[in-house]
Amino acid sequence: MSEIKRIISLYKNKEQLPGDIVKEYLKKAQKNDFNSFISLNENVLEQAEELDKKVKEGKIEGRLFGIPVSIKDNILVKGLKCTCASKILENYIAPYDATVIEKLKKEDALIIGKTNMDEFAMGSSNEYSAFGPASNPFDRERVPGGSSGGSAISVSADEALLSLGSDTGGSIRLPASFCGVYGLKPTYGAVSRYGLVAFASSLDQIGPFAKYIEDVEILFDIIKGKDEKDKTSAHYPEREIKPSYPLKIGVLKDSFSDKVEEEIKTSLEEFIKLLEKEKIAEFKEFEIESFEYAIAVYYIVACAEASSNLARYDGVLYGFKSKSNNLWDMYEKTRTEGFGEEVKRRIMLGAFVLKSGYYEEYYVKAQKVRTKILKEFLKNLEEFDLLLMPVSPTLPFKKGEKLKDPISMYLSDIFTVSVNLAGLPAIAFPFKLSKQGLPIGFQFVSKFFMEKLFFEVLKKIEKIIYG
Amino acid sequence: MNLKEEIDRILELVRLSKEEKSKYEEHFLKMVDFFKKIDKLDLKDEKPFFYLEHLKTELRKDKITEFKDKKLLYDNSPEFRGDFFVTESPIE
Repeated sequence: MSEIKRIISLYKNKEQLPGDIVKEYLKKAQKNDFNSFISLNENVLEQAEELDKKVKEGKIEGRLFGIPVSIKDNILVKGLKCTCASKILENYIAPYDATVIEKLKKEDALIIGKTNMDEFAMGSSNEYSAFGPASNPFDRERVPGGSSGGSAISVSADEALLSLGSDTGGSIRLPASFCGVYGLKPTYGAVSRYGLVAFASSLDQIGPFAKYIEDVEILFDIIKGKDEKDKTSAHYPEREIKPSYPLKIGVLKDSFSDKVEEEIKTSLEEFIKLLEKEKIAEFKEFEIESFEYAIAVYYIVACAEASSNLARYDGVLYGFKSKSNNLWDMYEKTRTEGFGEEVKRRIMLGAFVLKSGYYEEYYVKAQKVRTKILKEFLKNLEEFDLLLMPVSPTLPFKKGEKLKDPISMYLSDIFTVSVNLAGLPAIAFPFKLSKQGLPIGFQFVSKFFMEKLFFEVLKKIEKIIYG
Repeated sequence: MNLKEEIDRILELVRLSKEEKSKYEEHFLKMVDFFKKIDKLDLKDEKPFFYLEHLKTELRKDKITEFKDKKLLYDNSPEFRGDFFVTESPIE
């Protein structure tokens, strides 16, 4: 099932024009019912008109021809604002396209606008945005997850057909799961980060959101690959992957711990039974000894990298500047007034763990645990084709519920951060709705560059669940 | 300097207001305590994570290219005059 293919076939049969389709999505995006957009692309209708002409001439070539896409507001789109949901960049206009955007444009995608997020991608609820919190489309009193909350909402609420977000510690998978859509965190290096505003460079990855797995695959195929502008990008190995059923899937033992909500555990059991019944997989529990330390390691590494990456916002080269009589006061006021509470907290923590005398005690130790986490994952992936676990220990929580206790907010990422620390690929997929009507999703983790296995297996599962 | 004094020193360096300082201090101490969890692990045989094996970190050759949209770049600066970014003097 692919909405991309369905819409492109409408164009090919001259039953609809890109202008008509984009207007439908734009109407919803303009209403902005869930505060999912920070800004819209004012030229999108003009760009759609150009594609309308091509339809009439029968020149439909791009793989995303006339497909409305939204982009997280930390990815540069030339000529559009890129705020990172921060006051410090509120008027920043991107002077060039990120590599992923160049690729989308080459395929004739239509960029609808830039989506809401936690400031500089630091958050799990989309409540740390200088442009106000976004709302979950299933219950407006609840959070959509973060940090790419706006991207997940835009796809879930049909404000865009596809979206691109970034995942540093779960920022694609958590909102995808909370909003009932697919969200892929690719292998570290599989997608160029050129033009992505840096948060924690050894963890950040750009990835797609979509309602159907085939659409995730199409978008990922377009954005993946080596980029000379990003030396941490890799040549993506092209290979055919034919899963041999039943697959061997490992279920993380911690998925059934007391920290996980009961309904998530019973749904996971239901999912396992379904796949066993359909002879798609055989399951066995596995353990990662260092799993419970992953959150501490993640916040040491990510904060350290953030404190360095965010040093560039000083009010001189770009962004917000506070008026002052001398340089030092200007720096101080600019950063005090420009950054929000969570960003300041993480910069200070990062400065602390990198401080002489504490560097060995925290940062070096954390990097050692990171090696251990990677080894443990790889050992388990020798035995299993895929690893299965929840995306979040809770259902989408109420707005404000975790704001007073940042550590409880950080614990929302318990099932996602370890994958980023290991650099492995993972995909969040929707399974069912809870008794309250809230989405419940799980995630698969696989070996490096095995995204294709996710796509093949989930296409099969999608057919079973949705027919 | 003990840990609390070190944290106080960092909060002093970032010149927070008294109100802000007390808010951040409590969380800071909790987080540092949380970080100490990793001491429970035996790490004597582990090497610090450096980079993933599939990524070859070759340096690219320096190549001077002209950036065509300089205006877009400069327009993002709070103050730009001639060919210079303008800022307050570092000397009083």
